[in-house]
Amino acid sequence: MNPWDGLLFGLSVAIAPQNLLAALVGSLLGTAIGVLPGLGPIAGAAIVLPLTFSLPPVTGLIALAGIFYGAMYGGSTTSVLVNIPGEVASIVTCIDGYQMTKRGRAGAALSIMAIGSFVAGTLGLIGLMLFAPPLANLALAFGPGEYFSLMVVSLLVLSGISGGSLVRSFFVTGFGLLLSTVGVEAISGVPRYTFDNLELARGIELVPVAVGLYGISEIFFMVENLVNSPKPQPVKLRELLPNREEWRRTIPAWFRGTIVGFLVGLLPGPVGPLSTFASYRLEKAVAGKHREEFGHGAVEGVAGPEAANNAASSAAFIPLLSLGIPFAPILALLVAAMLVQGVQPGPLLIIQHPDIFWGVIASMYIGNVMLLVLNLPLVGMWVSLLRIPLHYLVTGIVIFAMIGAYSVNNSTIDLWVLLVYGVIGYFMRKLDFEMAPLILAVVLGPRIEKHFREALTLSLGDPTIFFQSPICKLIWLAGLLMVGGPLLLKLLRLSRATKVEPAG
Amino acid sequence: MRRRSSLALSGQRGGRLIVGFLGLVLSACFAVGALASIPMGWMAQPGPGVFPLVCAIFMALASLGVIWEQLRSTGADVPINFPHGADLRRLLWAGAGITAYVVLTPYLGHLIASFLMSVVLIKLLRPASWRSTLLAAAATSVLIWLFFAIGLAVPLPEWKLT
Repeated sequence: MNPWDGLLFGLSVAIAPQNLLAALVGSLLGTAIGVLPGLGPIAGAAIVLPLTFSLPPVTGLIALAGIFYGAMYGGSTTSVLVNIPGEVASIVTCIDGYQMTKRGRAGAALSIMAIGSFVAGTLGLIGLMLFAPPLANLALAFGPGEYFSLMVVSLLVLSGISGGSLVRSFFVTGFGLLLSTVGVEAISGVPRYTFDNLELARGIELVPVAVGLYGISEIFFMVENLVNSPKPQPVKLRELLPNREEWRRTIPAWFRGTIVGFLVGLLPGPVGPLSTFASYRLEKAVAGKHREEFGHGAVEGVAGPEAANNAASSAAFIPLLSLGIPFAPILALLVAAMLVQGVQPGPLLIIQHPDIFWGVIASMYIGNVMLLVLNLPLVGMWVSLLRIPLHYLVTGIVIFAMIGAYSVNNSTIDLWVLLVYGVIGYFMRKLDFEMAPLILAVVLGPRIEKHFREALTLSLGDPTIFFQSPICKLIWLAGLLMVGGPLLLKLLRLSRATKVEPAG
Repeated sequence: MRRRSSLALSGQRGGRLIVGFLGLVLSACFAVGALASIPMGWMAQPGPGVFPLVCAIFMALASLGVIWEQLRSTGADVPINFPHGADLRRLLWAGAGITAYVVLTPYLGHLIASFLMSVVLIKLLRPASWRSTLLAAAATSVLIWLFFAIGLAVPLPEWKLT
């Protein structure tokens, strides 16, 4: 099936009433999650995840994908209006978006953001549609050695570029991998670290871990700091249109942001924040005579990063749909959803489940249109979510989180896991440990183990199988460059600085 | 030559050192557990104990890396921004409320446990009368219960004490 036939097939799946409803509910819920403080896209999607298990796989995945890109839209609305990023990727939008609001251009900033997100999201989807199938075809040549290498390198690269210290990220990755070994081992049925507890035999579930780390820890921060959201000014519909000068400067920034975002989206790691920061720096570099406006309400400072963020979100689906490897924590939740539904993520997805592969892609086109049509006219409604009093917000989020964690297995032990990971997440944030590698390690751990054992069995115990084939070599080399490159540059800069520094 | 700052356990550096040592202990526990009670198989057919052992070794190395990083760090230590006074009390009460929900849910069921937790959280975050707090908690817990248990037919823990 060529990409255009695939898209048509996907559209026929996506326009089924229950799938349209899933895209609508997912993107609206995602926007709300993005707008609300305290409930980021990862915790939000994790809470909703168990509710999708009773839906057909394609419907559940469409809803979860909707939450993912809906949260990207919603997170930026609060950045522009009240200088509070709804999620990490929207931090950059605060810089110039809020300044535009202070200058009375809030409506224009929201339009630039929303239309830019739509344009970039749509272009990103075209890229996804064109690149994911060939990559899936290529991945059909992968054996267990190649998969093992790819997954290990992805985890290492994620640790390397997720910010903060490399050893601390490795520490978190190791912790996640250890967690993934708890429970009955899939191949032999041998219980590991279960202490004869039947509920532990199922293993540590991803949902309570993710909700605890991202949701409950955030609740602890909200309770500790007791910060009420500022009350935003209403935005009138007639103020939404940018003026001619703003249009002229915005359109090229959208396209630059789309390209930057799409390329960054293919990397393992926090693609949202990485793409927005990269795009902001690019916009500042090419701004010319408008450079002084950056930080004081430059339209390019909103248009570029917003486009980058959404293009990155689309591109991040390429490794997920073609290789079955999530490069970001929220995509790890989609993998978890697929596995629960009995769908094996990987290159065979396009052959075995074309309805899921193309249906999810097509639903993202539809979801982007829905978000554009609904978000701008409903901006007042989204902003009114910020008026929910803190005591109701915190109580509601905690109860939602508990229900989400419990309903994965109808098991009260998951409530304990949620609480423990809430506390762990709180201390990790206080001590500046990255949390994303933990989520990915929990999801990828069992699959890394499976490929590790298969590869060794296949090679009769020869460990060079992980490095022998040209694909393996290429993967390790790319990983070495991505993790080692920045380290080497840092060392070079340090040695140069030491040479230049005068003695004394 | 740069002077190495003194090692204080009160800042982030001290906290990370403790985490590093905890990581070492955890990896030792996992390694011992794997070696003692999980079949290792052989090289051409690795058993279920091999991967946990490899992960434990990786974790131990990363823990040593964290400890080493803190010990050789030369910059000023960053204080951990832990809450004090009223902020700390509020945090502990919230933690206690959530823990109470987790402990009580298997016996009292979701609805009653969530009502009790809501009372604690709402009272903590809003200075209001007990009557109004109880009403707000009842409304929050019942509405969410109706949405999930009745609207979406999600099975939730029920009263088990009878």
